[in-house]
Amino acid sequence: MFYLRLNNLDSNIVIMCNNQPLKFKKMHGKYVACIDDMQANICFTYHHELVDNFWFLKALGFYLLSFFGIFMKRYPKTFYTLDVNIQFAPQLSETYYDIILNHNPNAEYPITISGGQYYFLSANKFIKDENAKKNYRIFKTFSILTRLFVIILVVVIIIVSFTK
Amino acid sequence: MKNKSISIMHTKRFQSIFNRYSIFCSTLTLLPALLLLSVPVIIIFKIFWILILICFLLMTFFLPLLNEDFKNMLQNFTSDDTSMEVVKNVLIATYYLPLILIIFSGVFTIVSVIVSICNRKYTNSKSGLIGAIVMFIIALIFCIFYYSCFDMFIGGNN
Repeated sequence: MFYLRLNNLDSNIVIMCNNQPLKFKKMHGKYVACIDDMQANICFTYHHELVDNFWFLKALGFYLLSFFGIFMKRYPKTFYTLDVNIQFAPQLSETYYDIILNHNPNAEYPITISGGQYYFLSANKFIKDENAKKNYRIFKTFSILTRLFVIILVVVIIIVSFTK
Repeated sequence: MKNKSISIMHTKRFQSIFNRYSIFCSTLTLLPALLLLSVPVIIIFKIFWILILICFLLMTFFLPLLNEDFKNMLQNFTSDDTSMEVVKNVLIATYYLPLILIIFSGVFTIVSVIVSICNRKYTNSKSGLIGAIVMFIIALIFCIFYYSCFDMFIGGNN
């Protein structure tokens, strides 16, 4: 049994253990997750929201739900993907691993771990995602055109109603 | 894995939209209450304004070149009661608006809280939620104040 410890859960990087998101509990001001598996394969993953299957339908749903995007947070402009697999060595005693997540895509290492023994199974780096950039541009163009269309429609309706 | 990580982000986005709706409704709830408060404020400012105008009028005695029209304009302003009437009419016409808005705000806040509770083990979405709840409480206080003091300010017209 070992523990992963985070300072906060504000990060968009999701930590998975055996394909399930890891559940954290607040203890002594830090977020701690307990892992029972002796040789757990932990994955730190981050994908842009616009690279999902049916990304346009989902984005359109959020766009309409948030009243033409007025009440919606903008989609991030960091078009990067992170998929880091880490294998932890079997622990004899309860070990705490302190994890620091770095969001800066230009940083040398996005994930820094201090604690017992572990080794990275994949490169500890952000990978540029051109697909996300393309989808982001498509959605942005769509949103601008829709807003313009709505504004023009409202102006036309106002003019017509005043002239009658 | 990719879909799971994105679905967590989608839940966060869903919650943030409802947070914003809640804050928007709460802010709109404050406006009629502030308009109600503006009734005595208008009276106080009018008294100040009349004092300022009296000062101006006194000054006009020493300025023989002052235009007569300007003097008339200042004198006419003191006998104008339309601003109070407009405020009263607006408040009477929108009597139930704060109630509707506070209900909407409450619903959005509850949805936001439920989504946040469902997602609390994976990610932190407290920062937006606290703002929405604080804004909702302020709006609720203003709403209660609005309905309890409405007759007192408006004079039982409704």
